[in-house]
Amino acid sequence: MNNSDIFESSKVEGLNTQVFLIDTLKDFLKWWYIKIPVQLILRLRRILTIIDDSFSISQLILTFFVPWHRDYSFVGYFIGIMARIIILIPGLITFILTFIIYLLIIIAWLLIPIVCITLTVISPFNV
Amino acid sequence: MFKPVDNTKRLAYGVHNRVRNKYEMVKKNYPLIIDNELVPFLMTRDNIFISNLEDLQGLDKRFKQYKLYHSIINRIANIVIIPGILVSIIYILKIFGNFSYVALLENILPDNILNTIFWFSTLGIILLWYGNYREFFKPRRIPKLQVLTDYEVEQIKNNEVKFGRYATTSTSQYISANTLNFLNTTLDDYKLNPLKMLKDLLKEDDVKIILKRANLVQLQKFVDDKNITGKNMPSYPIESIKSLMIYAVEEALLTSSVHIEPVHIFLSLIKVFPALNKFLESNNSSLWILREALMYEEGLTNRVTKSIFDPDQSYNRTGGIGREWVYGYTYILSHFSHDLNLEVANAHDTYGIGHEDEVNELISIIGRVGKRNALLIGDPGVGKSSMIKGLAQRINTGDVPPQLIDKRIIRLDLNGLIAYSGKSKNVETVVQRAIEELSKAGNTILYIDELQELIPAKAEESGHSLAGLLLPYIVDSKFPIVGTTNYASYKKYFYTNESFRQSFTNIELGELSPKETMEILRTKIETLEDNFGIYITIPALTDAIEFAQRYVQDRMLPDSAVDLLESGCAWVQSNNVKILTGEHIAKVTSLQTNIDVASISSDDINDLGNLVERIKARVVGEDEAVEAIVETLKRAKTGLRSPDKPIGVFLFIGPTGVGKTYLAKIVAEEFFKSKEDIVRIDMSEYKDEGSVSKLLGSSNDKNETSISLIDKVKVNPYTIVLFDEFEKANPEVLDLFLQLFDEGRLTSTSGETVSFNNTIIVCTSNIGSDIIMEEVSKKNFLWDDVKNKVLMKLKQSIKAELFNRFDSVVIFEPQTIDSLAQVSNMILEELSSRLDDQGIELKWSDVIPMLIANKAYDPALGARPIKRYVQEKVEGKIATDIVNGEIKKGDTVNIKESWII
Repeated sequence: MNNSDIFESSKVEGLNTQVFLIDTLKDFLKWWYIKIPVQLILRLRRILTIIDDSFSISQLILTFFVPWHRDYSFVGYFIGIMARIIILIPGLITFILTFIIYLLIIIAWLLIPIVCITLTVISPFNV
Repeated sequence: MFKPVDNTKRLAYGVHNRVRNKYEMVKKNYPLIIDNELVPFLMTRDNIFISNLEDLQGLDKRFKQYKLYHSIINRIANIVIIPGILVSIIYILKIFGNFSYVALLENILPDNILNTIFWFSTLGIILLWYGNYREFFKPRRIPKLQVLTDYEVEQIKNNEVKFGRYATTSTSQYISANTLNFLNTTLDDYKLNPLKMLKDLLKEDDVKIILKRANLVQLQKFVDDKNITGKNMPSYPIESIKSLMIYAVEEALLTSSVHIEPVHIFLSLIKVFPALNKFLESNNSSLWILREALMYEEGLTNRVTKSIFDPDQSYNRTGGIGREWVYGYTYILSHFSHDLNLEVANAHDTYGIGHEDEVNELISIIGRVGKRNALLIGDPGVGKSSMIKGLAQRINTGDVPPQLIDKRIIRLDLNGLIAYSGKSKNVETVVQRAIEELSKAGNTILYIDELQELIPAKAEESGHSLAGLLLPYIVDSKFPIVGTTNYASYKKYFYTNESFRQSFTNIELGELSPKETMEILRTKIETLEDNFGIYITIPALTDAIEFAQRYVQDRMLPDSAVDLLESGCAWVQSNNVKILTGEHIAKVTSLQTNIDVASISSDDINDLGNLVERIKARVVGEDEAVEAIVETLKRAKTGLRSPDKPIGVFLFIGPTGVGKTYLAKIVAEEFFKSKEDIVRIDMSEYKDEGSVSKLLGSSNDKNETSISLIDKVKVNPYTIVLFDEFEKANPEVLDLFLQLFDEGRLTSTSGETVSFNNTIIVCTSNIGSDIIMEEVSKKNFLWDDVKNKVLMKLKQSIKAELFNRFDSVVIFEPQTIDSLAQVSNMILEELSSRLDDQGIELKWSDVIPMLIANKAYDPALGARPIKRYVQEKVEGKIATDIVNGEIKKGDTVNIKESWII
């Protein structure tokens, strides 16, 4: 800042260092433990939606016993169920794997600061 | 110039005297307050924004401290990381190598210490991460603009404001870090130097971008050329910054911005300093254009990410691999139909803007159990098809009630149906099977565009209309059917057909407002720019809306404006221009409508200054009439006339041959710059009863080829309408004129209303000609007396209410010998120019025109015989000589007196 006194700011009260540090800490905790996890969960929800949509998972489950293109014959029912099973298996696997991996990422995120602090503190005594 | 709804009048400024604790509203435009006792404020419906220097000073100080602390934290974090990196290297070396110095290190730094250093430095990484992702300086978001109500505006006018009920906040809370940095560089010596500020602002990227978008990049040159000096932008004490901040917060509110940015200060400078405002005006621009540009650019930056993985982006469900499995096949139907959901899912447009309420209504209708057919009624171009696509888009995103989830909208292609049935079976069978498929499919909404086309379409063999074939299914409603139609067709086909009318619920769509159209056009910019490889400026958009409203009469907003914009893009691309501006839109509008838009919309009032002279030079001896007309036209061009009336309504009175029609033609040429801009109607043809429908009939009549007055004005609204011998018309027709003169519009027999607001209406009449002729033949007559007598007769002949509706009644003086001589001279000049084209020069002495006037003079016929006389005596002679070879190319012909006598 080249003109530090533009507004004659010496006349007004500035920032208290202690208040600043407490505010910053509060803000950090809010950011790390609320904002980012919420974002991650929203992202997970979107990814799961896309998987569900691409494999038509929920639609296929809801209509599991509806015959193939409304052909109400044995063949219609048979092909309908078989086709659904064929798609549902990889679909559900993808869905569940993504869910688990993402959940692990979120848990890891939440643990990082605690783990770092704990290990910093206990490492010297851990001979 | 088109303006969105002007909200500036719905915000109020005031000042608070904090020593005397008194409030006062500011009525003058944008003053810069320098008195330290006075605190300026801005009122919206719920908020009062105040601005004082102390808050700004405090903010600035805290901002600098924040900056300092954060740079310290950042440095500490960086320092902490370094040993962590070294430890990591040691770890790696331990794993992969067995170097002697590693063992040495181990003696000095045991494992547990290394671990402590490593984990401690990971904390530094977390801190750095936090510092990078988190804005350290967080101004508050500006609340959404809520304008004052009429009641509040009234209260403010009467100084009865109850300040207690408003939330009061300081503008300093909304200032962004960017703006603070900017202010710190631009302000010095405790002074506000607006000129320096402007120059600094012009270097800001945001400002550059909106100037480019608003087609105002020449501002930089304007400032560089020293057009703006310390004189028109003088320096102010630093206190004035508080007013500037108040105006900046207003700009931020008007442009729905979240913080006060430098660009808002730029806009407020334009507001405060007339020199800048004048620059905008001289470039045919306005603050609104800049605000629109800013809103567009802000919208762009808000959605830079286009990834479907971004939770903030909407996601269109496509249904995936099993989408079709549960639904019945629509083999036959697919030959003559389109899946609207798929079409919409692949498009990047947003549909149904401005018709959100109607889409909701449509959803509630087709979500019912019974009677779920809907008919969308609206004039062409109001966005009926776009509304259906809006519904498809909402189904895709899942933003619909459960019974509509996964529905498909199938658009029926009527021509395709006829073509398909033509080559295989008859229409009845095809329709029946398609309907069976539809009801079996179970997930479809049938959409029939222009439903009225079903009715005349006939099955070839049986002769049944398609509508008749479909009617049982429509009434039965096994699946929802959505149709669209316009008002004229609704009246013609549906209103009379009870069962049809009963089975549909009507949804009426009105024309969109310019503001909503602007919203739509803004969403088109990106796609059009990509498609045509050009840059679209905001004035192009506003002009497209304005011209569409004014010159495109057969379609409504938004379609008419979108169409002009797209044509403009295509024109610009084919002419290798890179930037689309308002002028290009004017050009395209002129090409499409044959109306010289540039000359009509130009506000060049100087052009009117010499209109009197130009017309006088071409019309002989009727100075009084010319002046009366030009006076009215001036009023029209300067915007003083009422916009809901024709430009001018004149009554021309005088004997034949005085130049009534001629004057009207000349006015058309001079005012509308086109010879063809005249619609002439001989009112003696409208003597009978029933003439009204003859005058108002439109192309919907039985006689479809005849073009009525209404059609002519619809095609070209910028024209002179000339009613010849108007007193001869049937009294019913004259009553119609009352409405026409007063409201500037007529309604055709088919219910279509056409505006005459841009026409000049001229009625001519021979009433009182006998008096004129009689009086003028007397010696020593007084023209004023003659005029009074004629007016008296006129008032007896036509109704007083009609007489009073003429802007001016002009009584033409009969031609004298002198003026007839001038007329002959003009006719000879015209002949001379025609001969000139053939390489023959025509010359005559001063005596000749006088001689012609004397010879051809007939008091009862005026100037008309002159032309005939010249034709007979001069043209005839020359023609004979040319045929006989006596006159050749390059010859000079002298008119001889003997020819005339």
